[in-house]
Amino acid sequence: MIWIIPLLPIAGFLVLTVFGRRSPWQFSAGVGAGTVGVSAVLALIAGFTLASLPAAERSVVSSLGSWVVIPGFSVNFGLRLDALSDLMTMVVTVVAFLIHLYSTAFMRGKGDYHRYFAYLNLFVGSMLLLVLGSNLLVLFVGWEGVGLCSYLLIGFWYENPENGRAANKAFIVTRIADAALLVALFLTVAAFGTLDIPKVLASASAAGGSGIVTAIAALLLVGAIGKSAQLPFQLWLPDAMAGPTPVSALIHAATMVTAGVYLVARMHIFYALSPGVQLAVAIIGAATLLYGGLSALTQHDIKRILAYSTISQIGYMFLGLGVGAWSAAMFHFMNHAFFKALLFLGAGVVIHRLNDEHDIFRMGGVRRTDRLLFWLFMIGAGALTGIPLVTSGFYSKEAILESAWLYPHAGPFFWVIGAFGVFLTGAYVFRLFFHVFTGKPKGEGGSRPASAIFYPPMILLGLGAIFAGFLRTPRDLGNVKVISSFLNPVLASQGKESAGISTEATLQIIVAALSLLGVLAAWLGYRRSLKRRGTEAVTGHELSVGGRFLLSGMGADWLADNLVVRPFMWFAGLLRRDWLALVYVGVGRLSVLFHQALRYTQSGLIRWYLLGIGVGVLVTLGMVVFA
Amino acid sequence: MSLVYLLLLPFVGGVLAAVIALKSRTWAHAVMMIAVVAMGVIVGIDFGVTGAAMASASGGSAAASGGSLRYLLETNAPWIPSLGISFHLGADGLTFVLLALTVVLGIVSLVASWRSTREHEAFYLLSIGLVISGVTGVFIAADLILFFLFWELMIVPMYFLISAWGGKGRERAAMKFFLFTQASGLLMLLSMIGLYLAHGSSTGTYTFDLAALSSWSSGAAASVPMVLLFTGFVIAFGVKLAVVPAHAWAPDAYAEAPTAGSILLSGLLLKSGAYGLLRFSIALFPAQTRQIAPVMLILGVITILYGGILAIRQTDIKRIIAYSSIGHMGFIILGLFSWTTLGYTGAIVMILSHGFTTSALFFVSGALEDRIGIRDIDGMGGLRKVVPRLAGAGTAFLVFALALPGTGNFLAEFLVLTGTFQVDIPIAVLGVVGSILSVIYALRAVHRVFDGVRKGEGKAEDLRAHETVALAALAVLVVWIGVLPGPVIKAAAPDRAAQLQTTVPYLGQGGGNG
Repeated sequence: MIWIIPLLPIAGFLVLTVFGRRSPWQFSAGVGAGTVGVSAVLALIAGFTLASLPAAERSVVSSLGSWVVIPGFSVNFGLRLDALSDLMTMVVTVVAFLIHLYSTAFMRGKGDYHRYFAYLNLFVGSMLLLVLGSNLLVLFVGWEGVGLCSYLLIGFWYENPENGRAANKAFIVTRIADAALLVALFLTVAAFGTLDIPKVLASASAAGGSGIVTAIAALLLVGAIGKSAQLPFQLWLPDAMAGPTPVSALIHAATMVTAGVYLVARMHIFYALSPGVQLAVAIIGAATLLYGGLSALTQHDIKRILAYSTISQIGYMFLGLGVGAWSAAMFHFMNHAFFKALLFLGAGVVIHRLNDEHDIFRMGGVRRTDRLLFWLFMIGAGALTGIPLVTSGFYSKEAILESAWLYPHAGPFFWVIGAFGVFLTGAYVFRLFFHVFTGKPKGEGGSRPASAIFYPPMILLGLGAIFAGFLRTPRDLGNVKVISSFLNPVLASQGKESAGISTEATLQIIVAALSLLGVLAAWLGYRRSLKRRGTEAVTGHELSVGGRFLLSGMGADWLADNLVVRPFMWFAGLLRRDWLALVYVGVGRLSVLFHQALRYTQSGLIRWYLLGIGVGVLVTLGMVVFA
Repeated sequence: MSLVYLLLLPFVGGVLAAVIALKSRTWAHAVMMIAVVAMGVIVGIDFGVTGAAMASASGGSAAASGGSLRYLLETNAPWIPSLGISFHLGADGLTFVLLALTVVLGIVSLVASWRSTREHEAFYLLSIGLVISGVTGVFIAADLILFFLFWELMIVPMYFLISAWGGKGRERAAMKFFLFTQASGLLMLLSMIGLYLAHGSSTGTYTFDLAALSSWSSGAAASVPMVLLFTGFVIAFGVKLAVVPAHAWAPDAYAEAPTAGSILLSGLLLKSGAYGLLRFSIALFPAQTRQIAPVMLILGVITILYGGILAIRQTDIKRIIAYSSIGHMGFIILGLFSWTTLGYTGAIVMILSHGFTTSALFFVSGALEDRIGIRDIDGMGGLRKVVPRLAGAGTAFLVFALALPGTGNFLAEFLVLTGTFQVDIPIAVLGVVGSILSVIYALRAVHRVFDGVRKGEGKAEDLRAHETVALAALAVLVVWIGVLPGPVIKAAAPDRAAQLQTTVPYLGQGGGNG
């Protein structure tokens, strides 16, 4: 019966594909949101049931039958609901349901309504297959499925070719990373003879720190960072903002991009056994969180700021995984899903109200038109920054940084990076906040009314953004361990003694101060830009060289274009003519040549023929006489 | 006897349809369709009946004495006894899988031909009937000369299909197709005769019967003459399968053939090359095939990569599909020559899945060409708005072709590469690179054709009911194979395939701790 959870949205997809075009919009809305809603309810029921079970029994396996059975290899349609997959399932379905609700209003008049909900349903179904899969092949089906839906939804407004290009970029970059994931699957089959996750994990433990385990860990990591838009595969995510905003909220913030985090967490034994690769995870996480934060500082497209923010926050999750804080990383994932979705949905309302304006320098004073949105967005921004004590972001970042400090390989160094990231986060998100919500409205005005349906989902997300944090608090602040004990059977954390309470408290205070400093820096920067530019709209030309560099994502697109894309397309263009086939053309020409040559023997001149006969007779006689 | 009906139905159907076509086009098509459907019914019944009997009988009596093959259905009648040629037909599980493919693609090609008009409709239908008949014969022949007869029977009407009803470059394309396959076929004939003579001089019986020859030759001592004979077969099948570098005839033939021709060509004729490798090369010369396997693996991966890279910058949509198709053939080669059960199973699944996917793609491109008149993707664009259902189908099948998990294409590629990985890691990794290439060309095609804004003017009508049904059925088949490959795998399992069981010990292990 666990199978109902992913199958229901997939059924929704099929129904909408066949019947959607000719049905009224309410049908699409109903089917789309309904299937996900039911799945969400089922997921929550399953979650609470699971939580009430003793730790040892906290998993349920359900199989729909065998998929491939050949001598030596078999794989089935298996789903496994355990603490980790259940946490993800609950978050995915609930957030997806809220976003579906929001979309029923948002997407009216913005394109093929039924197609949107069909794709979104297929996405949710695939994501659920991904997290619930009990073997790596089912996981991979979900993995590619979400990639496909991401592609379909980024390019949803297909009339603008730019959107299609962004969609292609996303798919191709992630497919390159997925190639590594596939090789990891081959290696797993070759080494362990199975793709069943519990069996693979058990075999890996038995195998210890062998080269194969390390290789698989590394390959899985490459696949994970592609899907999760970490360095160096991050360049597809900012462009993916071309899709409708609810899509950005769901796929490119809360769920699909966290699939990499899930994969590493699920296969954490491989990383625990390969300290080198785990260090790489931490390094990638730390580098990416800096990269995302710095790049976000200069962006002026509201969604791009949030996109780089997502890249950065997932960097935190990878940092958490890298330092062995598995459940802390998952905790941050959950909170991030709430506040990032809230921020994106809020941005969607802003964009909608301002007639599809995306540039924050052309916005302003939204507080006056939409008080509720102002507060909701502030909650989201605060949670993202990690405003101390009252936001979930504070607690989850704290959990990660706490473990980072204790990491045996240069822990404090990673802590410093993470702490600096908190400062950056406050700075970039409140920069956005001040430019959009405070001050006087800048653009030509004219506000499109926002539907009432936008708000309930955001309110619920806001509540999550505040209260979900209390599921795990540090030792000196209540020592709540709900999340970690829930996840413990699956993700026993890599044991380390904790630092003393006073060290912890000091570190917390520093980070809290940094978050507030970030907000302050944003405020000061905003005031300065107001003074300099008055009320005119500002474009990116005002940036310094350094600023422009950050604006371009540190030249990532330029690098990818010139180092990879252009040379490759040039090479493919060289081969456009089928050179190997020219050999045969040569053969053909040679035959024609012979033909031309031999034609001359058909000259029509009798004396030539008589000569030929004569010579032939002489040769034949000679052969007879001398043989 | 029913095997003979399978041969006769498309042939007689074609003749009847040709006669009727002189009076009524619609009835002619209907008759042909009925013939193919009837063929399908017979295949279904036969397989159901004999398959059940097979399953209930113990599968363990593999103690086949030399020459006794486990055919599910057999027809054997002397034909030209003085030359040792018999009219011997045989079908096992693998055959039924391929016959099912034949029937489906026959139906699809007829649906694709339904609406567009052409000259000499009678001859067209006759050619299609002959091609289907020839392909069927290739799949069920158990006597070498009979096999060669049907091999030729496939080629000649296809030549006419291309040269009479094809696109602009049809004369050249048809000629290339014919020369390549005919020349390699003649090499195969030489090898057959050589084998006949060798067997005869060694055992005293002169026969062309596959069973007798394979049990002798698989045990015969390796020698240069054997290698030469083997080469003749391999070249013929390799050319047919469009292995790089013998692929040169394929892109032109695909691109210039009429839609039905492309469907039959890509879906069936090329697969007969794979089938020939399996049934003849491997069964007759297992040792030599084993020896040549590393070379074939390399050629296979080159085919995958070459097909993929060339597809990227093509502007003719049929050529994109053509090179994509060639790339997929590379996977079949990898699967067969990896000599693992995983690889073999993947190859069989690919044969089916690729047949469905590529025929659907040609169907779509044919529908596009009918409506807009061009094949050049640079001249297309914005078609999603104009013909949404057709665009949806095109996108869906291009996405299937890039091996989306859940489809047969993915399952096939995964099984093939997992098997190949256990034999040769670098080649498997290169194969995965091939799957990246397929994403690039497929998405490029979707983007250029369907996204954006329409350049030309003129209305174009969306898919009609029968076209939608055909494409939907193909989509269901592709997904069905990807999700429930069980029946196909069981039917075509190597221990069931008649010759393979007695002569080829496919590795039973997919790897792992054993």
